[in-house]
Amino acid sequence: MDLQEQYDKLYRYCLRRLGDAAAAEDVTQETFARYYAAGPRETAHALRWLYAVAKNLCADQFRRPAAEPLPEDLPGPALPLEDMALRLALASLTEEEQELVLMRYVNQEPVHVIAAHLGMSRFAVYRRTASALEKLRRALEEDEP
Amino acid sequence: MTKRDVERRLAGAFPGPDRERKRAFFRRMPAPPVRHTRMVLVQAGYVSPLTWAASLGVFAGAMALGRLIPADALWTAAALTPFAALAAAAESGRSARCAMEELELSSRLGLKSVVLARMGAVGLVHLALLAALAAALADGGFFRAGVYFLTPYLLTDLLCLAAVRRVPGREGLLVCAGAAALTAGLALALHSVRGAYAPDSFRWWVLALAVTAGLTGREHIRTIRKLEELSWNL
Repeated sequence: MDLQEQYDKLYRYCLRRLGDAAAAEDVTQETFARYYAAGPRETAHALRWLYAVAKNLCADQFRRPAAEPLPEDLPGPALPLEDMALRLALASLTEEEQELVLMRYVNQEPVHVIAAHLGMSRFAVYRRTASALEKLRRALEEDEP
Repeated sequence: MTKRDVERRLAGAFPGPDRERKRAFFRRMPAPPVRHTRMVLVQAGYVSPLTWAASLGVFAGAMALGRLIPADALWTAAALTPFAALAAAAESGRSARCAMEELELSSRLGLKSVVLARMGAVGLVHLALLAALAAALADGGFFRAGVYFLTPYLLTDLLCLAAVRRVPGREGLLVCAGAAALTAGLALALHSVRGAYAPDSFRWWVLALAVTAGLTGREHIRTIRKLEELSWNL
């Protein structure tokens, strides 16, 4: 397993959940630090383990009291306008649909990893991903002039 | 807009992490430890296909000969096992022959671990094949057949390891081939010695196996020490 590649995927996963680049980076690094401390695993298990830990750490971020924003805090990475349209379209999806779309089409994870992470069957992953993608397509078409 | 267009837009929509901070993070992290079983399995994949083919060929040949002439199965198979040991010895010196020693010495795991893992993989497969051969041709008992097959195998291993350690490169491999032929010839010659494969002489075989196993073990330790010296010299 290429850990550097997984780092990018975990970062995007956390970024979608937290919506903040600095927090996403913190959580990603914390996840990998725990992975190194816990020892090596088989590839399929390692992926599931990384996503599960990242998910829990993201949830912990929401439980913490919100930090007072400092004036010198830099904003997260700016997205191109086209991506903003996509973000708006993504916002019209449910939380689960967003997660499915990100894992399948952005991180390009195999269906069995997504199924294990979300606790659903492979068939359900196929069906719900296709439906989410169709919803997204319609939302983008409506949004575009 | 098609679904494919949406997929393409999605793939590039989410920004990646900061490259510099990511690199700095991985520099701070220790390399994850590798399990011995995983390492042996990974290194088994790097063993030359020729080694596997030669090993399987030798054992298949021994099995076929044993089936064709069951009365002479033990000594013919015993005369063929040195060639399996030759394949293993050829694998142990492959790094030097392919001029990969320095590169493997500088790798994370080191040449010693890599060679040991590969030899472990080949040795385990050979042991399993020898056991299968002994089980298939064991007319006078599995243990007895195992001793007859293992003694020439280990004797060849001993001679080849000593040769590879002293004579590097292709010349070492030629010496190994000579050692394998010599051991095979010895096993064949023993057949003409009256009662050499008889149950009465079996205790001498066990003694020979014990001595050969001890000497082979010592030769393995010397080979490992030599690889350690190479690491220090790098």
